[in-house]
Amino acid sequence: MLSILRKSRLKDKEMRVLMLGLDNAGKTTIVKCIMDEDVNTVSPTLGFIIKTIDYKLNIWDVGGQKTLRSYWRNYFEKTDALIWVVDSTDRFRLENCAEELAGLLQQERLLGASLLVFANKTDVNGCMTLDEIREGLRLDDIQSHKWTILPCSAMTGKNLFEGLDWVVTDAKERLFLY
Amino acid sequence: MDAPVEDSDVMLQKVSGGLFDVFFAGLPSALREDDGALRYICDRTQIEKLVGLLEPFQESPQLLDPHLPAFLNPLTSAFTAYIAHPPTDEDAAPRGYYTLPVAVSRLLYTIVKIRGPKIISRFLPNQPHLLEPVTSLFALPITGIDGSWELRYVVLLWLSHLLLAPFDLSTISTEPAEGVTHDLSILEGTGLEKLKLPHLSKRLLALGVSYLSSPGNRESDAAALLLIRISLRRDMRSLGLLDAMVAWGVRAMETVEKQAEARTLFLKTGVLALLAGFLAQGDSETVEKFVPTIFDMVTKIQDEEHEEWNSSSVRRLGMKIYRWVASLTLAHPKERDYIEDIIERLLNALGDRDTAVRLGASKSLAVVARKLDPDMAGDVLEAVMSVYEEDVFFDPPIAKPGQRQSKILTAVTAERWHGATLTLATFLRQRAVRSTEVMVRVVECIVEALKFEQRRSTFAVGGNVRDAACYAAWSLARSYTTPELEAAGDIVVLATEFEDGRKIIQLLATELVVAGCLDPLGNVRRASSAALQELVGRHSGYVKHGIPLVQAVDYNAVALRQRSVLTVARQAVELELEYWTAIVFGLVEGWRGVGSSHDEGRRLAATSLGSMCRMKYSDTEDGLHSLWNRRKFILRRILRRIKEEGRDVEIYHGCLLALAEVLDNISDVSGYSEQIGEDILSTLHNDVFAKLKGNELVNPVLRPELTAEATCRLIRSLAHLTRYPDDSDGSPCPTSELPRKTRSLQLWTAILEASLDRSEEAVLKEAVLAAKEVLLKLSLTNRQELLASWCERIENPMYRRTGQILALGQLFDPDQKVRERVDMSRVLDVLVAAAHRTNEVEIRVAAIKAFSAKGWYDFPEAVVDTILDALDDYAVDQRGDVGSWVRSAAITAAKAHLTSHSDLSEEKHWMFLSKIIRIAVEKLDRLRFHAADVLADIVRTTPVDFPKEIQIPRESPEVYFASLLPLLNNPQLREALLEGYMTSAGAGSDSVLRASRRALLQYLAATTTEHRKEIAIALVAVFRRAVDKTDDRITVPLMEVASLLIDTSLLPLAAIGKRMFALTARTHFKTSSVSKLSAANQMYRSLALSAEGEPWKKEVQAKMVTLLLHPFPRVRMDVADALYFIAAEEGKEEVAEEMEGVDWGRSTAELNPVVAKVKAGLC
Ligand SMILES: Nc1nc2c(ncn2[C@@H]2O[C@H](COP(=O)(O)OP(=O)(O)OP(=O)(O)O)[C@@H](O)[C@H]2O)c(=O)[nH]1
Ligand SMILES: [Mg+2]
Repeated sequence: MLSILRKSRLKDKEMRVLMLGLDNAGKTTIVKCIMDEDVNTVSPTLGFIIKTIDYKLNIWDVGGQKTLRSYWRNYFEKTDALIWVVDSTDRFRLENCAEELAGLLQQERLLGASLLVFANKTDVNGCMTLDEIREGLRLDDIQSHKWTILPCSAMTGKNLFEGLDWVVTDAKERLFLY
Repeated sequence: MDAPVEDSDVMLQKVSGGLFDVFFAGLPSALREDDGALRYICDRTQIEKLVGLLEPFQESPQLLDPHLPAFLNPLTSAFTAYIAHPPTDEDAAPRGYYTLPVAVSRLLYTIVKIRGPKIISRFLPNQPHLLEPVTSLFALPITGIDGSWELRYVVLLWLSHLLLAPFDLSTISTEPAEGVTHDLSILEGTGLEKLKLPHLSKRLLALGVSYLSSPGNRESDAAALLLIRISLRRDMRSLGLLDAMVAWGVRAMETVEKQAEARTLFLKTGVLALLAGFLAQGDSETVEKFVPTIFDMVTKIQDEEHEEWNSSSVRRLGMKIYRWVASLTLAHPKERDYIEDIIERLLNALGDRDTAVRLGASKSLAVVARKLDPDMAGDVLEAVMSVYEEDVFFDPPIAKPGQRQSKILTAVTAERWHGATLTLATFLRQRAVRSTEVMVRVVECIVEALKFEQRRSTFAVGGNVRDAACYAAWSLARSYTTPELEAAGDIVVLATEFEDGRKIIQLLATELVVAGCLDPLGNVRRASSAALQELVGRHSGYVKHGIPLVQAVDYNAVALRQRSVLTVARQAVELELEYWTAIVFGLVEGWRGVGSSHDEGRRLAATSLGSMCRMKYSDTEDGLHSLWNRRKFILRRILRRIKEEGRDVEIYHGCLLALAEVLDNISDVSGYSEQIGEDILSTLHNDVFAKLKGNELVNPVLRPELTAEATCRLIRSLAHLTRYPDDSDGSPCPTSELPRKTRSLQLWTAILEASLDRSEEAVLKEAVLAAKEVLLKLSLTNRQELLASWCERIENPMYRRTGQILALGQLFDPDQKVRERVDMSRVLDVLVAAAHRTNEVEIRVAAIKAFSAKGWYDFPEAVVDTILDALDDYAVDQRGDVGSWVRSAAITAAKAHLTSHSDLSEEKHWMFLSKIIRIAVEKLDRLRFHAADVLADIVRTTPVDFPKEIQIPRESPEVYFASLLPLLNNPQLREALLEGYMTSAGAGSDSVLRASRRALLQYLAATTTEHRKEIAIALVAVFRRAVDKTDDRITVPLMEVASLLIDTSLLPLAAIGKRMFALTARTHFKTSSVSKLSAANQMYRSLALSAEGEPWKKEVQAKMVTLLLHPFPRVRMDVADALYFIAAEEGKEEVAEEMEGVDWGRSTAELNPVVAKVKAGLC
């Protein structure tokens, strides 16, 4: 039993978070900002990046370019939370963004995961409002997942940690009684 | 059995910081030059040292987490740097070195082993462009890959990580050099269009397939992962790879070979892992279609009992596949129903002989049950719980109304209990137990499993069942809310022996307390403690005295069995009567207390029961709330057990010891016998011994030593507390009591006589103590007769026992009633004679022990002299220094005499002191410390002029010896001390020898010339005595030490040189002992070299020259070496030249001329 307990102690701590969104949404910049790294040196992600926060939160940031999207499902396994990053300045691709998200939410293997939508780049003037995005992504229709939306900025760091807190607290609640 | 005292986790945590620092300090220089350039070959010792720093974390992986990036980044960056610039020269790594990739993978593998491949993979570089070059490592022998499975494993793991790249492989695959092909013939006939595969994927496939059948688990696991990843990739799937792989796998499984080769089995295991991985990791719409084929294939292997089903790995993978088939089909129900079939298979596998298979099956069952509808899940749970009823017999088979019926578990399968209990635990974790009514049954199962044991002929099984029961209790505590558990109300669980209803939480807590205190296995006690903590922590306020209870049954406190059974149990019991009752049940009933299969376990349980009688609560007169009711309750329970199960020798042993302990603890109050009541008393005196016929104490197959020990122990207590009216005042025993008294005394004497004839230490200890109590109760004539018979037996030259001697020692007890009208001078004569029996060391030891009574008895001079003689007992036989047993006993006896007798002459005091001090500096560790302890005690009271406070520090042997050397100032002690010291400094174990020499040299160097001279003279006296007695035990080490002292000029030679020389010459007179000759030669050499200007120097050299013709070539060579050295020192080159190149192994006749020349030159 002691070895089982030891293992479960380890497992209790581990969480897997998948960060997805269209290309140029700012996913990598968000991760860098959280890790306190230089946010001015990001280039489009041609693959994926794994970062661990506080030894227990594993964030998988996968590139969002169109060719890469079909591989997203490679990363679904045992995901506790999905962070969907939206570029609030990109009105033009909002519909595209909504379609991609809807597609994801149908995926069987993401069923247990909760959803955090980051409306990114809200430091830029004239970006879309939170309600615009909420409507555009048809978030209120979502039944399958527990979700929330937060305005944020990877440049100023606004709301990033609040978002992570939500993810962790939510996961803990679900973990509590298994 | 004990668990490590301090939790290794905690220990490791304390030191881990230091270990990490050492690791980080050593890592860079192991992999890179000072200027940061990569080392292509790395020092093996350096790498292994780093590996060694990591190994301790195997048990506590979580401690590594904060440092993982810092651990892994230097390793991966070195590896990628190597790949970017592979070495150009073609040489393999020299001896003592690893190539860089091998070094890195040694370290990486160690971390993987600790923290798991999944987690470590995350830190491996994942740039897609690495896929090609990493794959190519397999084709680069210079990396050392052919000789290191760790490197192959790490590379395979890395490749499977790289395969997560979100790109079509075709976009990163380069075309091969001309003529390079990959053998993919195995995929022939699977419908795969191989030509369409990008080259890179062909290479990867070929790699994966070839390592899938590797005999190394790790390699094969990583290869399976690689194949799973590549086949499930979108681009590869669209080329038909997944279908092809499944087809290939199923075909590979179907090939039946006449002789199942090992390699085939490895392949099949690998293939099963692959197929299980497909089902587990693929999207259901992609893999669903394979379900029927894979399922049928596995069931066929199982049902037709194919050879490979004997492999536990195959069975484990089978369980996994069943689980995934169930999950897939439950999610998307199909016409075909697999579920019932699968559940049945999983239930059966709960009893698998292999633990991993049981674990797998129980996990699978829980996963499946979670997805079932509640009704069906309930059925599964029922089925699991029915395991606890299989093959259970009842005793008696059919109970009359009100009769106790106990469960007999001898026929059940321990493995099935283990599997079922594990399953319960997993069900509980997943909250699969949904109704209160079922929960009550689950609790019953947990309680039974928590005390499950099955004895096999020489060992017991069931520890894993109990461990799993703790896990189940832990899961229950964690997964259910307090109201859910309290909903069951008051329940009665028969297995707890409690007849009143209790709530689930309290009931489980109490049972966990019992297991935490009394389970014989350290890990079960710890697991119970952990589960208890969870229960109290999650349901605070629902366990009586929860917090102090958890503090008492603490995880570290329960590590040692003795501490758990005695101390922890008492602390827990103090809190609450319910815990007292449960612990008493645990100690009296079942197999964890007085019914334990370990002798020591029963003794502990008995002692613990004794202390249970003293527990007091805020008592009333009611039931167990009354102190005397509790005591009687314990006594009755034990007596009942003796009646029902006393035929079993071990249980009889445990119960009798327990009775004795209980009686000792309650008999200190007057009127206890009225309190206990006549019924219990009479049972104690009569029924308890009723089963004895006599041969129980003699017949070796009946384990007579246990019966002897236990009966004597009980007799001691009974005799002690029985007060017959004529004991004290001499008035005759009332006739009504007479029969009982006579009967008891006859019985006791008979048991005593039989036990004193035994030789086991545990028996004699009890028998001797019982002897005193019985002697006190015997009539004067009977006592005289008994003692006379013992004396006669001891005097008989054929006597070989020790019990009677030790029993006579009881006559020196402070209570002089015991020797009233006993012929003590006869007893003393007999014992003194026994103490001098040559060739019977055991008898001598016993006699000296008999004189060790710390008492008031006025021993005659003869006894004192006997003890003094015993301190000089250096007898040896084939067992070695058996005299040391006598000396040890004599030291103890000396202490008793010196601290309690004032009329010893000063001379005798000095004799004792000098002998004990001598032993305190001798080479035997055990005796040295024993003597030093006693020395510290006796100097406090000694009347002679001796420092009253003596500090003998033990931090190191050197300070120990140094603290005793100043006693050399005392002329009465000097020679004895030197004599003992020689054995340490000349013949001690390595560390003792070095420490004592250092201390001696320092002491002599620091002291005055005058004192050195005194010491030198004393040393000669010791030497002379030893030579007179030809005592080689002293002479040989003495010569070694003396020559050392002479070489270092610490022994003034003027006064003693000549005598030393003469004595040395006598030591080897006509001897054939090479060690003696060599020690003497060393002495000669030292004497000759230091004897400048001494008249006897020539004599020494002459003596040595004669030894040049000694019959032993070995001696001639040694002496020649020494003489050559002396000649050179003295500038007699011609002699030295003469001796050069002479073969001293030639016959003495041939050597004569040379010797003559040497003689002429030196003498
Ligand atoms: N003003 C502003 N710019 C941002 C913010 N977050 C990201 N950017 C910019 O947006 C651009 C794209 O950011 P990335 O982080 O590379 O976007 P990504 O989602 O990782 O893109 P892919 O890796 O291609 O999927 C960069 O030039 C960032 O500087 C933000 O909060 N505010
Ligand atoms: Mg990116």
